[in-house]
Amino acid sequence: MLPLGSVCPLGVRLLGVCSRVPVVTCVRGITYGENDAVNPNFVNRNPRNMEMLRLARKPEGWNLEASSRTYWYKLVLEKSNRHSTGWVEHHTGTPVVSASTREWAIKQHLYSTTDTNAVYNIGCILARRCLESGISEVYTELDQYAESSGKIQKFLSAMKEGGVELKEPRFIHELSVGMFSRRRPALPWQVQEEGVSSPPSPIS
Amino acid sequence: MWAAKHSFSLLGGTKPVSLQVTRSKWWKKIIHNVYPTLQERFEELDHKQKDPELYAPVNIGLPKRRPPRRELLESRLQHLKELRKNKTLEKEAWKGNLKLDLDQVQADWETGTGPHQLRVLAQHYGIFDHLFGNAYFVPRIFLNISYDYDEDTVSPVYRGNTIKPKEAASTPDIQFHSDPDSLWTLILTNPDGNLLDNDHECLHWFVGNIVGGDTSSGEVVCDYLQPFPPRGTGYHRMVFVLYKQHQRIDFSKYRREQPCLSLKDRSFSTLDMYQEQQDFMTPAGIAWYQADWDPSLTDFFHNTLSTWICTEIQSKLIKRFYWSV
Repeated sequence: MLPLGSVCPLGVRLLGVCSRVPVVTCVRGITYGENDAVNPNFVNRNPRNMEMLRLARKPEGWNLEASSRTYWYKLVLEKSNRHSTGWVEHHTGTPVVSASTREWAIKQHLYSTTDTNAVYNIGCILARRCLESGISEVYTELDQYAESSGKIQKFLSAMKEGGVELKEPRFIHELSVGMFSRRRPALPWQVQEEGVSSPPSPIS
Repeated sequence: MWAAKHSFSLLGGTKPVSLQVTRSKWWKKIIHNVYPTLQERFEELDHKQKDPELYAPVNIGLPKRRPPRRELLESRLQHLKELRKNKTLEKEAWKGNLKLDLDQVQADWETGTGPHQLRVLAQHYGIFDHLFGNAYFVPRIFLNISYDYDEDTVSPVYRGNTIKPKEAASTPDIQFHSDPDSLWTLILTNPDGNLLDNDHECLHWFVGNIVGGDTSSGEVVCDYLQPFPPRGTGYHRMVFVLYKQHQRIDFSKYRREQPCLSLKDRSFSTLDMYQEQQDFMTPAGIAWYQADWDPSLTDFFHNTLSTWICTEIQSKLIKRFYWSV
């Protein structure tokens, strides 16, 4: 059954909405079967659901820190003396997707693990792994170094060509979707995707 | 007033605790006010911290099958030396023309660090938590799953990419490396799709006793049903789990009538099933995608499932999600 305060189909009497046990009834010729029973306290347990819907809060309040923490996923590039590693980390710290010249799968084909070409290839591979893992937009602090560093420029262009956007969408605040708010952003679940092109995905 | 961190057992442990000591003329005594940090408060609420041995993570997967590093090292070092001598490779790399074949890299990654990165990703998506509880496994076998959308396009399933329900209307094509005689079980579940019970999953496909790599040779315990995330609930995870069987298993206990269109019958718990069958099978591979609502689901709900659930769940549900974060 539908939760309180929601729009109900015509002619439905809500019974037992406050209890955890769903109750069905036959009203005005509409026969409700067993498949209509829905838990009024249904919860989508997917931990990535809120981020996908842009409703999850980004960690705010660290504005006096040098590096921002207001992101869901951050793109990082590490260039050590012997290897180059690129990874995308969640704001909780987990490196969710990564590509490194330490991996034999990549190292066996490269001439050097630290030159610009290696970083470019790391970018291509990381972009593909990101899209396969359901990450298509990331936050990055590497933009500021792109002008001065050729390697970082190549890395970012490889990520863009691979289909990963280097700008995360803004978080949708509850107050901005009210009826009288000035700028009402299009909510992701209201957009009919018939006419919208899906994000590029590697198709075999 | 000053803040002090002493290792008192005020909160029932020997961890340093955030205290603030106050001294007042009126009370004529020192009062220690406990101001735990957010981290400490979460640990208090987390019942798993109270008995770490009981809730310790357990690896239930297949063991490592790679040769020891010493054997690989010599051949690899030789290979790298030859690479360094290769002048054409050096020139290509210097010019920026050396672009790696991504499919080849993917194939080698699947035998190397791939399974471990997959495990971290599955943990991030909460798949092990909701399917197996405290257990996890390193997925040694990689699944090549693709939905045949139309003549030209194919929707592959990787690790969390978005696929619309209309693309997943029919059974996918499944391929994986296996010996011709080995037996496998494939289960497709939706841990977010059980509309009656939040702690159970919705079973979408259950094929047991698959011989070799051919899904059509297995016995269909539960027939395939496409994903049906109701509008307003967001993205549901559809998880394919591949188990390697040690022997032929009798799945009559889990058999559902075909076609099974009753959502109550499709209520499933991977943990319960695995607890019963753990001596006969081991989880070997995993793949998942995310699906959200699609206009084609309206017809599916009305006609196939004979239900009125498809109406939009309004802002009340979204608000509840919002404040629970």
